[in-house]
Amino acid sequence: MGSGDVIVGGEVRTVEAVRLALEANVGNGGGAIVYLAPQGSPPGIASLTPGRFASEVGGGLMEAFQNLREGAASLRAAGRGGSIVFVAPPAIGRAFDAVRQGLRLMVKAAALELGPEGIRVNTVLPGGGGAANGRAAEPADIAAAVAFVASDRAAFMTGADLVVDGGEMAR
Amino acid sequence: MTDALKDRVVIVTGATKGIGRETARRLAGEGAAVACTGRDVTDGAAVVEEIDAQGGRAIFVPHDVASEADWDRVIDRAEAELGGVFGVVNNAGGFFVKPLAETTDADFQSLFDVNVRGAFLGIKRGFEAIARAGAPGAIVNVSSLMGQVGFPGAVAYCATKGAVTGLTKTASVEGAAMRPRVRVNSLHPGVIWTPMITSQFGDDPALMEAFAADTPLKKIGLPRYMADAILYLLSDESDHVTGAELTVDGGRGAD
Repeated sequence: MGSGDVIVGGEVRTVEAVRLALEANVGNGGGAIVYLAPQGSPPGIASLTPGRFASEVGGGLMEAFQNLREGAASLRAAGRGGSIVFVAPPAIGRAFDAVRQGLRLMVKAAALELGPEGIRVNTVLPGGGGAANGRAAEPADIAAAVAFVASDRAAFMTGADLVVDGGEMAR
Repeated sequence: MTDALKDRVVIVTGATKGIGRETARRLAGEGAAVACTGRDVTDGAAVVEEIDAQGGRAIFVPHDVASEADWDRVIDRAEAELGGVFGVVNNAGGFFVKPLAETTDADFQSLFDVNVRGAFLGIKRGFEAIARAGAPGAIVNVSSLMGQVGFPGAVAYCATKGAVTGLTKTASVEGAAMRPRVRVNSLHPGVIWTPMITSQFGDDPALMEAFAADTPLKKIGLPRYMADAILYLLSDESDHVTGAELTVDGGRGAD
């Protein structure tokens, strides 16, 4: 993987975000930006089947894991450090949010493992539409966050989350 | 430099040393007019000189952040000499290491005054000043990794920084409802090599290396990393970011 290369995983939800992030340049070591697809809206726990839970939550986390594994292997091979940024699915306040939370913790584990090689791993967490500031997130909001986290301006940031939700999760 | 904060007035408390000093210089380099505040008048004059030398705009105002009268003077001078206030960086803070059993009420109270009352007053006075300026604004509260996790020997510090995290959440929701609105976020540094650390543990290169070795990214935290994060949280790049806890700790808190 060369400097500035980007992997886009899952359903590309925000093409504009990828473009803006690329324009802002990924940090010196190169890296990956992985967007995870939004989750469907599940029924309540009582009517959610184990099969659907496994396919949605297991599938979402598996996709993140595969991107993480591939991204880490490429960056390791290049030997110049770098950054992997995950954009989690938006919060929906239902069981499928397990993907978001599982991703956050997998990213922390990956950060500990890859840190000594100078590879940073972080998560950007979009809100779910309940912003306190009275407006919905634009692709450019998420892209700017990704661009910051991916760049050398965040050279000491790893294993962390950046919440971009207009204050939704603060209350 | 991109002029990300061109002509915006930002108050940086504790700007005489460490993270605050680097942040004041960085913001000025992005076009901000910076009101640097702190208790050390000599260092305060030196920061303003540094900013002048880099072609920036700054003033120094002596400031005990726990004093309401001092906040009056800081806000008055910032407004009179620089213009309507855009942002506040509540960075000033104290730190000491002492086991819980040896921490006295007086120890606890004095740290609470600076770290919590100081941030509280900064947010409150910041809200008022930004409202007077009549344009959207942003506040960054420097909490700590120790505002998110415990640390032996730092019961008072962890308690104060946890309080700053909570202050930030509530202020962000109230600020989001204001018109013009005010964004409020907290920054959570890990171990950053500043006088706050060296005054407690000694200015010893071997210790710095030990801290670096104990950090997943295998490097020591530097004030410039914090300045970059604070600039991001103040700039329009983070226009939809409020109530967030931005941890910049080299991965220490991921463990």
